[in-house]
Amino acid sequence: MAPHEIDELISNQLPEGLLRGLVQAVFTARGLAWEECQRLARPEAENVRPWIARAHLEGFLRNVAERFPQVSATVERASNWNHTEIHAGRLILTQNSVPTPCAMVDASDFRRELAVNNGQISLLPELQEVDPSKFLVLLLHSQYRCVDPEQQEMNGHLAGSAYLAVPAKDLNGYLHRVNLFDRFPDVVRAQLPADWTDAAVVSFMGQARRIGAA
Amino acid sequence: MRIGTSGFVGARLREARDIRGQTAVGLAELTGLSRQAISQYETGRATPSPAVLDALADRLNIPVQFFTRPERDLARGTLFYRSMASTTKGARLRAEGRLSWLRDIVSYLSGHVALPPSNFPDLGLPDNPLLLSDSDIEAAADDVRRYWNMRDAPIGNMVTLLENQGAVVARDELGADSLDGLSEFAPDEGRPYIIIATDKGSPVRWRFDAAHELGHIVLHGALKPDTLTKSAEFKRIEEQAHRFAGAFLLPMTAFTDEFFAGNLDAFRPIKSKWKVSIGVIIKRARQADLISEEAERKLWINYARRGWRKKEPYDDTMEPEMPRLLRRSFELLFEHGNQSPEDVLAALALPARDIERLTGVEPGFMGTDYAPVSLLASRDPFTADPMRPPADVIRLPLRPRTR
Repeated sequence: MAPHEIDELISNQLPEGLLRGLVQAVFTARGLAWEECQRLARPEAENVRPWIARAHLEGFLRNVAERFPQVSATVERASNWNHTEIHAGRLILTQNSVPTPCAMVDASDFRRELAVNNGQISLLPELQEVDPSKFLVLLLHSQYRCVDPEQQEMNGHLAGSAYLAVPAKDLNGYLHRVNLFDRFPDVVRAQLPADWTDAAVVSFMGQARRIGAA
Repeated sequence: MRIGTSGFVGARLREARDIRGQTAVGLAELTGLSRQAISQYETGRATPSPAVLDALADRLNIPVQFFTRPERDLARGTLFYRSMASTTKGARLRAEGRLSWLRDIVSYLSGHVALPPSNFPDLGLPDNPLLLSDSDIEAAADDVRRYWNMRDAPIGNMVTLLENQGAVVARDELGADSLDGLSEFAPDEGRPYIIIATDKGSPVRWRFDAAHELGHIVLHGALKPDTLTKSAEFKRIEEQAHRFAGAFLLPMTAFTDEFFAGNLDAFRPIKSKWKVSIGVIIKRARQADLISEEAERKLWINYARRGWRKKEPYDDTMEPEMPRLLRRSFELLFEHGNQSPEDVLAALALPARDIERLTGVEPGFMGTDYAPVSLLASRDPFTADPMRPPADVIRLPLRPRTR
């Protein structure tokens, strides 16, 4: 599938309002997790925060999906771990936190299974039960990183990137990426501190584009 | 022969009693008088002796001079009480009395300082508010924002906004849990008065109360006191003021942009940013049709389960919005206006503590406790002459530093 075909598929099946909502959800989940961990000592806060953010975001995904009749959300259990799937036509969307913008996710079994048709129909007999028309899209998000520790303390609650990424069927790369920050700069700006200068916003958006940067 | 008090005004005793929340029987018991005597004093059929008046003034904690002031002749506008149906008549009378005192204070200040002119729009709405639809009210809230050149952004300080437009705002304990506030558009001054009850609530709740009273001012300004007679009509105008407050604090378009999920946790940042309660956000989400009736019901259940009916997130960390206009006026008056707290107390004949509460100044601001202080002779050029008499003692009021 060519990138423009994937773009078209995403545009056709994921409403723009939902995509805007995903960006807001990523920021909000991370912000809440940051706030809720303020009472913990720093090492423990760093341990726990990603899980709290994940919990908020998984719930938000379902609530965002509720607003769009052409979309549904389910909670699936895989490997003793619940996750939310948004179903929109051929697409299945799940979320993942990644350390850097649009970094690769773990090749977990359930993701491998969901991505089996990303690219070509699998010939593996054990995966034939998977609906071949389904197509996995990942919502990948990372934390905003500041070099200055003081700035990090002030702005560490911000999401640093949000991408829709279509993994290859063996999860060893992405067939296509959509930078949601670039797509919805107004949504991103509304989430950033009001007193940030234009230069600060440009720098922030630039960090989100540095795929794979540590 | 019985000696009465010259110039005693019975209506003032009644007013004082109402404001202090005393029944005639209660005051009679406190003073050792009969209920009939209290009644006769109030109706002007008798006047108390100076000793009895002293006792009445003492029990009511009101200066004796108050009772010899002329009967109040205020031009009254329609009073809007934000209250539940359970509010007693006594509580309303007390609140109305406090509002009268507030107007006395402003009347005095207006003779010495220039208060901001009143700048509230006339939106040309029908005299009968029952003809207003919800969309009219949303539009009215937008119109007021445009009139005051406000963007669809969070309002930093609702009380300051109202004061800057010429309203007088006070925070006061009205002595009734069921009474959240009241407002009046004073027809003779062309200026709105708003009292926000602080007996209970939270900073966002008080903000909402202020916006609610603004709703009455702009939506119901043309309403005559006797126009509405049915409880359903009162309920409707309260709903309208509520709708206005929500629309004014959280405009529909901006809120629709901010809203992404019908989830209580997703509402927390909206509360932080817009300074409205999560309860108001739930209602706005339904009004904007962003959530279904069923989703709203579930949110309220979850809201109650989290204990948010009693206290919402951030209620402890947000600062209440304090009125500043009257405090600043007094500061100006005392610093540059050749007036002292004694002058104010003498002119108003109101208790210092009540003036402090109604004007939002610190306890003791109007106090008369003084510490004697004298200038040091060696530092005072006027006393360098050894033949000159020692410095006079000057008396500085003991009052806390103002912020």
